[in-house]
Amino acid sequence: MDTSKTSPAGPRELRATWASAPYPVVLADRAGGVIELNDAASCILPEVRPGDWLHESAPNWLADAHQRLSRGIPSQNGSSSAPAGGRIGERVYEAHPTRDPDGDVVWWLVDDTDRRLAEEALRSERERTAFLAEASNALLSSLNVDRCMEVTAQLAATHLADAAVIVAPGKGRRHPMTSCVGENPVSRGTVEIDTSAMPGLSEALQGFPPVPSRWIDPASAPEWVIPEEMRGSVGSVVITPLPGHGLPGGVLILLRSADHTAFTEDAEIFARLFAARAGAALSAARMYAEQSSITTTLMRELLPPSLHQVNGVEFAGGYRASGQSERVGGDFYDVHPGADADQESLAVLGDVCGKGLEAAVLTGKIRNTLHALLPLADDHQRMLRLLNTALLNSHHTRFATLVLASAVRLERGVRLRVTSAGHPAPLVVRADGTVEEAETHGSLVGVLRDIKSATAAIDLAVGETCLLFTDGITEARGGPLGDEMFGESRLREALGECAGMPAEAVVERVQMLAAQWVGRGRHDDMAVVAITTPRGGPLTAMTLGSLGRRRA
Amino acid sequence: MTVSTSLRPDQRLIRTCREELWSALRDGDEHAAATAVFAGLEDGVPAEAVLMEVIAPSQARVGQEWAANRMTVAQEHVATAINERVIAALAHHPAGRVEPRHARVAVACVEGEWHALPARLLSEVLRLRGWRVDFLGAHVPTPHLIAHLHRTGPEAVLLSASIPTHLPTAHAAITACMAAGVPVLAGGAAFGADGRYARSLGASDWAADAATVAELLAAGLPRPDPTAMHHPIEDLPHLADQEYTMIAQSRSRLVKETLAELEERFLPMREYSSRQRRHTAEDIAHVADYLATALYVDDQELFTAFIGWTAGILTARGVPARSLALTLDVLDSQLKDFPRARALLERAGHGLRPDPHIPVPGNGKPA
Amino acid sequence: MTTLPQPYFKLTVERVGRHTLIVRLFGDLDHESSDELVETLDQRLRAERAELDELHLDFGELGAVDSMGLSAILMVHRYCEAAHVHLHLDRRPPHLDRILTVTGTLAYLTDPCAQHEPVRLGDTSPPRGADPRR
Repeated sequence: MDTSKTSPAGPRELRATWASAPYPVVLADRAGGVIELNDAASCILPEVRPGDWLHESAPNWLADAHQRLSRGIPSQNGSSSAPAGGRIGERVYEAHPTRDPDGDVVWWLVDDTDRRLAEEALRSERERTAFLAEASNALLSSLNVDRCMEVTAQLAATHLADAAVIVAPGKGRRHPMTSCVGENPVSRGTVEIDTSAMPGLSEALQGFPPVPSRWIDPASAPEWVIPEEMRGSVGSVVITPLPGHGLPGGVLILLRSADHTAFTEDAEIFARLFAARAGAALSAARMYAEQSSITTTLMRELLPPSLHQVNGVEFAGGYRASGQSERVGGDFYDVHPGADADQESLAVLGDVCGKGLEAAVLTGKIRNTLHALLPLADDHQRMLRLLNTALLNSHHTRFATLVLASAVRLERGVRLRVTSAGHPAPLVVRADGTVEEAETHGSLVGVLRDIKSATAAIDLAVGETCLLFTDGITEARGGPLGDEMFGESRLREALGECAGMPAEAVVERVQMLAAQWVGRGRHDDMAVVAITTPRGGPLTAMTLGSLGRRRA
Repeated sequence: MTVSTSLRPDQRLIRTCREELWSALRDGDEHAAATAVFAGLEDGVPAEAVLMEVIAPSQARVGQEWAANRMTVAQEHVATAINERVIAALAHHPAGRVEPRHARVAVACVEGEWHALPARLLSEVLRLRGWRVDFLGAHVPTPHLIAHLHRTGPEAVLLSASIPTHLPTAHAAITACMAAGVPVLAGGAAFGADGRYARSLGASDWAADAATVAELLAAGLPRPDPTAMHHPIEDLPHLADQEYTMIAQSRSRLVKETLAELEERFLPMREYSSRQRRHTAEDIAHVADYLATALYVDDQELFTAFIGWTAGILTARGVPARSLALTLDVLDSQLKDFPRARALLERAGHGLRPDPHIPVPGNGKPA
Repeated sequence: MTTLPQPYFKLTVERVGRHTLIVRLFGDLDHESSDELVETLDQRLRAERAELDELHLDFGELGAVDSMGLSAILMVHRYCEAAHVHLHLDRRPPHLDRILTVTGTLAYLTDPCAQHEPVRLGDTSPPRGADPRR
């Protein structure tokens, strides 16, 4: 430290200036002996008198700062210019030194309490805002209710309290419960709860009427509230309802252990802000779960079934809806198994004009009607005429095109009767790879008063396949050059390679080629059904068990 | 604790079983295939060993035989379909029945990925080890996968991809799953023999085989930090040069122009039938796709390996590999403003020797 | 700003003489454009049916046509029948003929001698048997 420069006037000479200063001022010599204090300083440091040693009567932080300054040691934070600071009584001061060449130091004490408090408040506010933003991100990432509760419990147990318990609305007395203690893994379970045992609980679980969050006495809290790790050490408990946005939301229970500070009012308000976010995320997840379960139920009716071997005839189907997020659309297929091996099974594949849910609803109507008309399936023309009449509607000209294929296993192969109602004719691949078009044609259904159709009879030998497809396959645009139609000739070529394949391999091959043709481009609904004469009977656990033993 | 470690399968039995299955697959004989596998089971080969040491190798062999032109596309599909049926039947066999005792996991193939058998085998192994497995199948669009995660809240997603050109799609799927708070374990040949792409695309982890997947799951995968606002570009900062984007977008034009130029420079092409011409266009499109993918993951090896492998495929089918070198040349001349792409093309071109070593990218043929 | 090439559809309606309406279609008739055709012709036929005898749909400049496009043509056919206006499908490109053939509607839509009972507009129930109003 540079001590060679002399100030024009030393501290002692300036006494007149600082004696009446509004700041507390302490003058001490190099060794730490107090020379003088002004009135303001005496006021806050009544025990310090001239002649005392700073380290005996002044606060430690001031005595230390003085010693460091006198010995030329930089202050702890490394910068000699930064003021020393510390508590005096209830308040916080910064001490700014002025030195003279003899080593005497005037300490100017500046009351910093309010600024420190403001800074403290700002920092904790920023931390809370950051935490709430972080919590929102975390909570919004999942629409799964369990996962959402898990995240809520984790966040609350690490940021708001020592442990958090979430009780969700349940059925009857049983309620799903998620709890988390500190950084430990989350545990999940259900509890049987008498909601009247805890004030505010039943309202919160019903979602009505609104209740404020409240403190409860840990001693009176029911046993299930206290996680095992916290037994006997709980100091305070707060119950905060989770807002449900029209649905019951459940409650968030926060616990702090006895050796931690209890919840302040401030912390409780903060917990409420967090609960609002958690509640919003949980109710979104509940709504999603409810919607998705309704959709799943409805879709189960609309989705194409998975097909398999029926009475010695192999059926396989594949479907891909046009929309990225849709799974239902205007194409459909079904297989109605014959009652026994002598009875024909009926396969139907069709395409309803239009897209999306509206088309799916018409699809459902057609599938139901055909199901009702099954007893008449030995006469395709009649079946189609009745279906047409059922669909006729004077208000619109939405139509459907479809193919009916009745299949029965005979000794040497499968006999098919195939009828197209305004639909592209099915293709048949023979054992030698030749591809033929089924000689059937007819009118679409749902618009014309009179419809006509012609049925083709086809015999499929072992390994031969009849392929029913919708125009989503043939009209798929893409390919290496980007804008070509997949086309019937490419489909025929692909099918030519499918001689001898099992039905599902044919379906997969056709679907794969069409999907790869389209690439990432847009496409229409695509559906295919393959009907094949298999080499042997179906693999079942029973036949396989006997197979294994036969060899052994 | 697992079926495979509690019993020491007899290697000789497994070998016999594998040979019998292979000859059944080659003949397309479903019942013979089932007989082979079920006899093995009853002779004491554990179900997991049947899956991983009998069925899996036979399926890999199908891919190799196809690549060497010793098996047709149809035979390949028949063999795969038979393996799938055998696996399905296995699940109903007493030796394959297991009550779930672990958490739920989802197994899915990336959208565009049709090779479902590796994922299917993995699902069955995990099922045997007591996991509750939702097998979503081949070609799962990312929105469907995410909807499934929200609906069921599994512990992890096991994402399978065999063909490297699906890596950009896999990246989107990985990012979406992780953002939904579900860890992703990537697997399959597309992610590289050492799993390097799984890591660069931000997956939680990578596993080379089903047993490793089971171990990682048992150890517990950490949940992705749901508060981290992650942007996919952070995984792959090199994408900022837009080379991938522009080549992926102009793919059709690139193929058309390359085809036209190739016709000028490669005389035998003038004699090509329309079918051969179409196949050439498809080959060029594959090269463009692999080039774009190599740009996406910024990896020379991915492209070089594909070119070497394609040269082998073409040679096995009597197409001169010179056309491939020429294709790279033509592409290079069309991509003057793409320094990364040109570097890839040049170095892959150097690797085209008359008798190239054939590394196999993926376990099958190009997309 | 660059504009992406949009699927393009345009429709012009021209009255020729007292009794004829000529409708020219340009571009793709599909799920996006089919409503425009149906609504335009519904209005014109309602307004001018008393004088009209003939309606010509000119497909000379038609692009792609999908099932919604065909549905629209069938609807126009219905309107024409209700208005006792004769519908002509002129200058049909091969792909339109193909979709009409596959769906079994070519004769219905183009054969002036084809006898078919119209589904009357305003019927609330599907027609059954002989129409008593004929």
